[in-house]
Amino acid sequence: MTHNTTLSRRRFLQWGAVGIGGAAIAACAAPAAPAAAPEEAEMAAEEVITISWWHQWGGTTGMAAMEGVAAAFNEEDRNVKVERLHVTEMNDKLLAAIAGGTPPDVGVCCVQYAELYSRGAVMALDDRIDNSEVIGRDDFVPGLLESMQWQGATYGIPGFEAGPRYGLMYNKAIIDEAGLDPANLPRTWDEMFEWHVELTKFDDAGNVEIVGFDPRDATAGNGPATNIPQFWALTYGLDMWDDETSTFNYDNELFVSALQTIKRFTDHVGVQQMESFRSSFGGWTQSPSSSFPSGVQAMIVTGYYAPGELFHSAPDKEFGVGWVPVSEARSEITFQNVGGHPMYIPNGVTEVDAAFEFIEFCSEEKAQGVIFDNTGWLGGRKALYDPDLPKYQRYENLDWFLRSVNEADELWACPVIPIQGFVNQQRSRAYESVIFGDKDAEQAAADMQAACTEEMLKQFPELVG
Amino acid sequence: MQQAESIASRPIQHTSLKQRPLLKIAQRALFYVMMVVLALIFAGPLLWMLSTSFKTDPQVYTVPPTWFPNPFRLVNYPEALSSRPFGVYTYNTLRYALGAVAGALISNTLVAYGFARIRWPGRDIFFIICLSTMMIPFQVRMIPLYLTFKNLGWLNTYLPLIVPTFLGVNAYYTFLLRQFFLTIPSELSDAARVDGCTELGILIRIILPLAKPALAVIGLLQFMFAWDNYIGPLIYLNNESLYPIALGLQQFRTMFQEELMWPYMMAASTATVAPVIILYFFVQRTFVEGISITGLKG
Repeated sequence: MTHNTTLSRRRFLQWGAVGIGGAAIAACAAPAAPAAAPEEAEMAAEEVITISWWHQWGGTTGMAAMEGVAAAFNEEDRNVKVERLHVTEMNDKLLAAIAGGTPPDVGVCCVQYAELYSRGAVMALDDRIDNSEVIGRDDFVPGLLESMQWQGATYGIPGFEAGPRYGLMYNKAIIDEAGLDPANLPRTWDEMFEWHVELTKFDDAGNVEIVGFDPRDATAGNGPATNIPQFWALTYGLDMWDDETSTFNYDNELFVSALQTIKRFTDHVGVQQMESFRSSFGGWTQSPSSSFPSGVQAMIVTGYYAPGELFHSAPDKEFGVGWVPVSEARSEITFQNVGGHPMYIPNGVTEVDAAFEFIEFCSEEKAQGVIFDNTGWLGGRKALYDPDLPKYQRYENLDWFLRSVNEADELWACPVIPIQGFVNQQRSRAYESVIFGDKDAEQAAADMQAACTEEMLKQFPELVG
Repeated sequence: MQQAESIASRPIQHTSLKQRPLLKIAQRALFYVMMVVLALIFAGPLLWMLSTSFKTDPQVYTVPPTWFPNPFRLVNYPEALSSRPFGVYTYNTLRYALGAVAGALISNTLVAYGFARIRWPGRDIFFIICLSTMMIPFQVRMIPLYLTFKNLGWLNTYLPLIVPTFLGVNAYYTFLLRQFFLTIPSELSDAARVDGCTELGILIRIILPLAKPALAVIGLLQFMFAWDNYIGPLIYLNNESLYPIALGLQQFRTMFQEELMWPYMMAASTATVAPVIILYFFVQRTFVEGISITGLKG
């Protein structure tokens, strides 16, 4: 008797088909739910609703804040619990999840929010705000809720990080050493340039050792944040976006002047040196090795979170703060801007009530306390903007930012531009083309205007005009 | 004749015989110098990563840069690796990486064999169609794939990262294996057919034993892809306990970004690339052989 051990192609294909089919069926099958008895079903109706919350913020302090908020919410006697997920890159994941109908119940940070609002990817929350016992429209710093609105509807609630974005912070030791008077901070860009020249130091070989002011660091350069309006336009009094007509206002002598000022500050250091300096040290105020916290940059334009960050990143240094410089024509004007990261509920979410309950919780004092204690961030509630609160004394200069919201002559809100990502790209391109000398400021402004207008017409032709 | 003898007796070769070794030595020396320079250029970032992983934070910023850490902080490794569950990340990665390697080897072998060794109508057209799929970027397929896996109920599992590899979807691997299979003499297959061997028998008994180098290349490439895969796990997984090494490393990076703790970041990076490098050392000979015979080498 012979025993055939070969595997015929037909047999192989049969086995393969059975195997793949079986795997597919097994994978497709939903987890078997045990048949529920009536009383069990009744209990299930009262069961806890678990919502998902995605955030992109990580970092040691940021993660502690997120974990703390989730823990504080889950400790409460509610029938809603939250499951937190740290998403390392929100854009792709959120886009796929919304398209696939499996979005998180609540999201925060870091996407182009205006693009979500304008494309109907997130829910309008007006009805819920109006019926809420926790959140009222007047509870937030003026302008903040408006920066989360599109075409009259509100799509986000300030929850984790929102507040004033513009203060001129300076390193006291460097200013003192240069013999400058911090009580008389520069008010115009011409005065600021004189300080920049005084404070910028080079070694014998011509390498820059200390930069007076980097015109593209932190909120002056707009950085990677998705919701910060263009600082340089505002210092020249230019409102670069018209909400009524959905048009841009870049091809304008004020914006040209702003571009020329950026170039002027850069040229004094040398464009290559300035770029290398920024990329070597890093910007903003969170990292101890960044140029401002490490003491190789004298001044920076940054937001209310900087005092808290500097408390951790540069504990051995002293800093001061004052109004940001403006153009000569606006030398009597002080201005501030508020903006921040909204909490939003994507379209397709079924547990909307539960999701909104979590958002309400995050905007309240308890959660805000957890966030502030870990990160120094504020959520934008007016009641928490009392500069005399004892806990705010922990971070030097934070009180100035909180007061500035009420004391500024002008308070701007972040514009909601539906092609915000594109505009940000164009802005960086315009800055770089001018400082590297590829274009003059007039040409760069005109090109930016043309590109943004064309893109707007392509994507939202019905709104333009 | 006399002229011929005189020519033969002339020490024509004498000079060149003496000079050739010198020339050869010079050429070889130049070759090695160039190779060392190139090797240093290519290995530079890796060596810098390794060096930084043993430094203190201030040493990272010294000018001129320091290549040899002093003090030598070996403790950066346990401190960095204990801050996140890297063991879990590694285990999670292996869970789908090994499955994906098996899937790529099995499915692409069958597909490539069909394109290389079996004549069937429309074969070359289908092969071109198959190759053209390489030009579709993942971002274009991302949403349709997501919807498919969602409808299959596979979200938040490793199935979207494993099952497609069993469907021969990677045209690049198919192309490499087909090119290799074409180099195997058809007489071997013909002889097996004469002896009554089936196509599957020919593939398993004749072709695959000869294709080990090519299979090693595919296996290693697929393993590296799975190990480095960031966007797939990012989109499909919604539970941090399932995160693989690529997501874990990104989490780690954001965690230390605010302090810019480069030594920790470099220690974690070194530890995560080490398994791939070690695997490469094990299969280096087969891999290089495979590279040279599949036409991968320029």
